[in-house]
Amino acid sequence: MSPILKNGYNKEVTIDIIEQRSIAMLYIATALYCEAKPFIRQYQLKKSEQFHKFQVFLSEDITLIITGVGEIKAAIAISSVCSICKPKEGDFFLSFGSCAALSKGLLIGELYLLHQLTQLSTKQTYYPDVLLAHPFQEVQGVTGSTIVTEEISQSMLTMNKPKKEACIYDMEGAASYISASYFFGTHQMAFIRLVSDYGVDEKEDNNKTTPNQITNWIEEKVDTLFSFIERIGENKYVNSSLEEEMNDFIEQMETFLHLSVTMKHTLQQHIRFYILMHDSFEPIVRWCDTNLPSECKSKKEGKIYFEELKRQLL
Amino acid sequence: MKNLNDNYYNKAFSHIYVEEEVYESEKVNDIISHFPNATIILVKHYKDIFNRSGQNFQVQKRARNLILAKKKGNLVYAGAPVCQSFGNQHFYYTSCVMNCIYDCEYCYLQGMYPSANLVVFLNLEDIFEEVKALLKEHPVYLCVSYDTDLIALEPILSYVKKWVEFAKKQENLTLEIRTKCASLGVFLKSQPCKQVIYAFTLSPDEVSKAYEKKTPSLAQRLSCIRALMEKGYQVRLCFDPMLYIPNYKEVYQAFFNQIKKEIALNQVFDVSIGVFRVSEDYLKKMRRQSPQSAVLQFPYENEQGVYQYNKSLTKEMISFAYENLSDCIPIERIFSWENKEV
Repeated sequence: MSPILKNGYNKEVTIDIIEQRSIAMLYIATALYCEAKPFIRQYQLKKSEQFHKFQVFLSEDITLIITGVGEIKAAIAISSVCSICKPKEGDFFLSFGSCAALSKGLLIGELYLLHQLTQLSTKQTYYPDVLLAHPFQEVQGVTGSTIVTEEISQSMLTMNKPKKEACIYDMEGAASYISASYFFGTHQMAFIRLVSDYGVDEKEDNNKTTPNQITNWIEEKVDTLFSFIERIGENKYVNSSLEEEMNDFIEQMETFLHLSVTMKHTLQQHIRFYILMHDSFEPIVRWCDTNLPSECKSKKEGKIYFEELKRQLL
Repeated sequence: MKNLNDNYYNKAFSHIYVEEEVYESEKVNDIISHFPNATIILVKHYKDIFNRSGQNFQVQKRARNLILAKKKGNLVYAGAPVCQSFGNQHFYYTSCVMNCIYDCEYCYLQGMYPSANLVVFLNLEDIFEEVKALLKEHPVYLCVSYDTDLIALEPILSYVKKWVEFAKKQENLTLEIRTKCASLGVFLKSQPCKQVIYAFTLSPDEVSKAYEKKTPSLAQRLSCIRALMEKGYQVRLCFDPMLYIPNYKEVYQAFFNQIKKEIALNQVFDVSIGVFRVSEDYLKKMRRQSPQSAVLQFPYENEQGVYQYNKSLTKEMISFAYENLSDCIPIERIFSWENKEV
């Protein structure tokens, strides 16, 4: 991101959806409030009081983290929130923010999707999957711990060989990837940047970007940005109550038939298969009610009924 | 700025990752020219993208990407115990491509590879050299299309043509090219060759439609096989894996009847039969990523690290296939992995 001032936001909210959620969650990380503001407004996010070191805004299916500027702050904030919220398969992580363009062909105020992120300090490159159709031009991102300098800009030119590729520079991208990859798969992450300046040239121009300008540029792109976000939201998971019922049934059978751990796993696999074939295991429950005795006295007796139950399930 | 695509996922091969070392080669340009709209991304090593942690094979295969690389280290491997050697003493396989464009629900590649992206190794000539070195020691039976379907990729790679041309010059080399492809024109790009066996995997339409997504139908495969046999190509039929599905005997009976009606079985090179089997480690991963797959969630039994149907069911299914085939083809030309193990 470019060096800009932070805004404050003191709206008090009391929503706590972190632990007990049953729908897919989109996690958005921005460095600055001005980058987050259009999201907060659009999705009516409420500030959480559970986090004191950085600002977190919530809705039923969005958690927005304002990490602060720089690699370490981004990594700490993302790790902290994700350690509490525990992302699941079906959740998605979006890193969003402003950046400097290192290639003159990139336009100020335009959004770009990063298909690779290189950490300048280690020269390590990370590749999020780009599986979802999207409307953005793709570029490579480079993440450094300082604002972009002439030296950095020059080193990028050599890094790009043998193929010249459009490149942006930010201060959080690679660190966000590293941190988020502890909680999300490569297919569950996207990194979008808004070009706010051309880095070294900006100092000469003495024409610094303001937080309001960044918010305004994002607002101009909200149709594209939010329609992409809503597409991410299409990929939601559904909690299966059948799975819970199955686990209850297996626990009952484990006690009743004196099952060993291996036998319990075998039964679990048989029932899982049966449910896939029949969409229900109600007939099996009925079969157990009719055919199993009221009491199973020994492991030996349990094994006989276990084998019969397995046959019914195939 | 581009318009939002109506499709949720990108099209296949929307992104091509190329190792820096091979980027400026002609082969890369040839392959890339088939995908003019692809985004090209340079990588230092193919494993930087293929071996990343946290990948999901099932999600990735909805929008597979391509990786172009140079293969290093050992290029030809001894045949795996779970694979059929067809009585060949010196059985080897090589993977000049990793992963397949088809989407078979039971495929072991989902458990074997961390990624669904296709890796194409461009240094085919280095593999040829390693095969030549082996041929100096003994005859070689080499499977070149195990971990992929080279025929299906032929319009892009032309690797089958190169393999056939190479085989023609190597007296003691026998190649097996396994496929589910049915595009006759692709096969005809290479002349028939006694040292090359085209091995077609066949399944009943019920199985194919349910579990072999994106593959040609049984009728298409049979039509292609018939045409190839008429033109003198050597054809192997692989009834492997047979799947235990409801009414499997009825379904497979009708299937074998259709095969016998449409193919002169006494003229095929040989046939193989086998039931579904997969290593313990692979199945664990496959089940985790495909909780809704009945084929993978079937309660298989673990026999020395290999998950398979229980012994009596395996025996029943194999015997059933034998009975159906042995009246049309000499039993010495019917191979079964299960029998090898007994």
